[in-house]
Amino acid sequence: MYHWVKTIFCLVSASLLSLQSFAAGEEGRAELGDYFTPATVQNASPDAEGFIRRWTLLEPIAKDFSSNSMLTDSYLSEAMSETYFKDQFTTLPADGERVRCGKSTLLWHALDSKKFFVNLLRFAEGYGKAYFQQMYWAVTIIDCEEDIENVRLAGGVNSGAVWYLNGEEVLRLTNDRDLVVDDCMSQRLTLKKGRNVLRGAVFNGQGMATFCLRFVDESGRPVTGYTLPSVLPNKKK
Amino acid sequence: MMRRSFKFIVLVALMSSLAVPAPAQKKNARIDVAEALKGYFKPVSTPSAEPDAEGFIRRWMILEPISKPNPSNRVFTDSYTREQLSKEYFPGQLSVLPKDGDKVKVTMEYQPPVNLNSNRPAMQPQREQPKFVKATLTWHALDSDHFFVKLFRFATGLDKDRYGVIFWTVTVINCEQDIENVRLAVGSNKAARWWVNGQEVLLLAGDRHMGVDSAVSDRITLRKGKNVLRGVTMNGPGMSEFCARFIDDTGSPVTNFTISCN
Amino acid sequence: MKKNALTALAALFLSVVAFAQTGSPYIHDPSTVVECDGKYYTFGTGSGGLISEDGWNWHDGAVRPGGGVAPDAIKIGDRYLVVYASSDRSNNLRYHSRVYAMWNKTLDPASPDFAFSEPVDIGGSNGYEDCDGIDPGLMMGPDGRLWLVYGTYFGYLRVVELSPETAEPVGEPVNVALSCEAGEMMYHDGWYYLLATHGTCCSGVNSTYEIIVGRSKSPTGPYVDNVGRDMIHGGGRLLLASEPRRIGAGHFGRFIVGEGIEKMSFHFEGDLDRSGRSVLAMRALMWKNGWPVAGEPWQDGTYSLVSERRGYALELAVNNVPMAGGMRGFFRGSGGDAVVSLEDQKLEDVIGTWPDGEISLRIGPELFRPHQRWEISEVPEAGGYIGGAYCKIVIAGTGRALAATAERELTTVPEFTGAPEQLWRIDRLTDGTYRIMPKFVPGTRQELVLVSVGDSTPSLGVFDPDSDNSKWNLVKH
Repeated sequence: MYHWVKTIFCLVSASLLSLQSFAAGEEGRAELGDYFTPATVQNASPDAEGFIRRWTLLEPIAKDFSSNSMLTDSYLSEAMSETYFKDQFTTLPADGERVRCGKSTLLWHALDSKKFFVNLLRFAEGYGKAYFQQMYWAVTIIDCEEDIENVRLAGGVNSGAVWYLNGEEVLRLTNDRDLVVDDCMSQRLTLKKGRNVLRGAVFNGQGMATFCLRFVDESGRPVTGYTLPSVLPNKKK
Repeated sequence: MMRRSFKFIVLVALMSSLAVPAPAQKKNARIDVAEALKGYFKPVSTPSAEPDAEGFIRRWMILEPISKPNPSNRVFTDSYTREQLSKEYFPGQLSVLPKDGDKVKVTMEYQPPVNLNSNRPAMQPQREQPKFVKATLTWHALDSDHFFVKLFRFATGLDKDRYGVIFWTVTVINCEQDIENVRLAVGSNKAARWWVNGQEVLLLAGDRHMGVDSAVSDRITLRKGKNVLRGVTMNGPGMSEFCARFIDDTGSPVTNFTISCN
Repeated sequence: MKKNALTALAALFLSVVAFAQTGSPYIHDPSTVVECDGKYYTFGTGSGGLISEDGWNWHDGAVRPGGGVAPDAIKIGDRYLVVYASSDRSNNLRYHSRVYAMWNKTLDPASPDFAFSEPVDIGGSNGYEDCDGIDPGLMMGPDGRLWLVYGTYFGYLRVVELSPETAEPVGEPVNVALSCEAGEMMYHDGWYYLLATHGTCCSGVNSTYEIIVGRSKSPTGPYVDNVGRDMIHGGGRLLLASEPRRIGAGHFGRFIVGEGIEKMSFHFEGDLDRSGRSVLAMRALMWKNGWPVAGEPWQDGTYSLVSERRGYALELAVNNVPMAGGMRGFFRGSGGDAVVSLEDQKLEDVIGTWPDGEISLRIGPELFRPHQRWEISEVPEAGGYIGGAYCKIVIAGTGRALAATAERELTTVPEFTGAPEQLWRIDRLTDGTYRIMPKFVPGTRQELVLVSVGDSTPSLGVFDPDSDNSKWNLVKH
């Protein structure tokens, strides 16, 4: 009983804290609440066009590239071979969970984007973080009732990204890209019955930082028959 | 007694005429032209005509064909065309304004009659030394039933040489005022030369076929009063025909004139 | 040896440079090209811009106060509206940008009437929102309504209606696109088109700049591309990216020469033949299946000029000399002979049969024979026109040149002399065919073009954009 009370207390507290961050700001000034709502409340689905709006995002990590043109294949390979924080390729973070990254402590935030794309610049800005020349980690969980075969992960990003499904790299977007829906596609994949983990890192130098992701079938039509479960605070699953 | 002799003479004469094979060019044969050319031409019966709604000139004086065998239609280069259509086939050929029934004596190359039982037109054999024959040809005043002038049917209807032939045609264009900046537009099967008021305005060479406005002259003026439009068309094996009209600078037909034979 | 090498190099340089706008066409983010009193103007980022007396040869001299970036210009009535943008980067508001509008009675700085009005703020971004209010583009719609588009990769492109009298906004801006910049709008045949630029700017010869397009039935969108993607989703059909030696097309502008003839202006981020500098460029603008298509740069070469009317080729009125090798029989093999490739008929096989002096022209079945092969090449010293340089058209391998006559007909003269009636303007029409026009027709000021008056007869006549008689195709050999 105590365990459940503590859970509910944390849930409510976290929600209240999150809501404070999501308050609308002064007129004309964009705030976090214009772009995101907390993702801790209930299960979600992809939107009508199949875009995945539920993500747990890590506050950004500073990187050394000065221009988006530097986001070549080899740069991304090298960047993704570094260790930034513990269990970076396996963690299923809870909302508010902390990680140690070098000398910094960064928080994970479970959020639902209000738009089909995820605005990482506004995410960083909303939490008072730097937003240029950064690397943004993102994780989401996809629950399927049955195997869904022959789907492709379709992504757009500003500017570069690498994405992993269930631990395997499936999609890489290089160079100074602009956000374009279905810009790049993975090979054919299977979303397996049960739990799937979609994880990635987005890189941005100057300018806007955004990404969008969805699964599409062989005809290019959005796949929507899966669930994005709620994310409890400070609990690993 | 007298009546029986007369009947006998008539009978003999009839049987004699049936026994003699008809030569390729019938001398002095009386042909019902209207019947012979039915479907393609009618003899002129009015003093003047007008171009049709699309400007085509249908009233022509046409001379029965002059035999000029060509082994193929590939010979009609510019220089060959000009050379053959610059020869004098009969005196006054560039100035005559004939009347219906006028006759012309020509010397022309002999060609054997066409074998109508053959599936293909007779290809004329190559001759090192062409053989020439004399012939008397008649001018006919005709209105074409169509926008084109089917010279081939003119020839076959009148039982004349149909392949390897030259046709002379002439008509008179009558204008109430000068009509400037018009062009003579001719489609022709096959090679041809055309004159307006004695000036050459078109030379058509090549193995061509009749297409409306296929070849078009420089800009000319049809002058107030009479204008003589004269053409000579030459063909090898195949269909012979032409169409002719005047068009303005926009490509539209000119129709404000009348046509007569003289 | 050194002199020959230098001469060769110079000739190569000239031959290459002749295929681009000439003079000093250095500019970045050029505005739409606007004609004013017979001259052409385009303004760029920074200050000033370029002027051309003929639309081909450009030089500095256009004057635009205000600085800032990516201006645009349009003529409305008897006035010129010029817009540009500048950004306030203070207080870390990186994207606090405003669009300014100015009016002038003329674009000619030498004119006594030349005086820009005070710039007026007509919109932009407040520094916080998902928009960077620069790169303004203007369009006058078919109904007389004036539209402004602005924005870059930082957020959205927006469209807002302006008053054509004052240029002030008359409504609220609407987001229409994402992930692009350098927006420009145009209207064609019932559709509004949004042109924009994708890719990396300002990287010279490494730029991935490209011009894309979407279309809508409404000026406020949604603008959708050829596969049904909204430009709000980053969609857009490619219009033009790079060409050999010219990298990164961006900042589209439309110039309508006349009915059936349109040009597009833009810059290449890096011209490899001009030290990799940003240069003004122009190409034909065509329309195909409801989408704009960019024309290709002109290439000197050997062509047939084929009538759109009939598909026959412009040729000298000379004998068609038969080639050896006629028909080899029906349904038979080579009879034991090896199958060989026959050579084309050569000029030296037939030129002896051509008359001296002037030779007239006709149009005949295309057989790719010497009397039908035309060498078309730009004549750099002859000047140009909007989008191109005057060319000579000569029988390939000879100096025999196509010329206009005082009788408004055509001839060929034995040797090209550079006389204006021997110079030809070649415009690609919106349907992909060509209009071919002499620079000068003796004895007339009337503008005449090469026409088919008969299937077999060419002449000079008034251009009719709706008639195939006025149109030609160039078939490259």
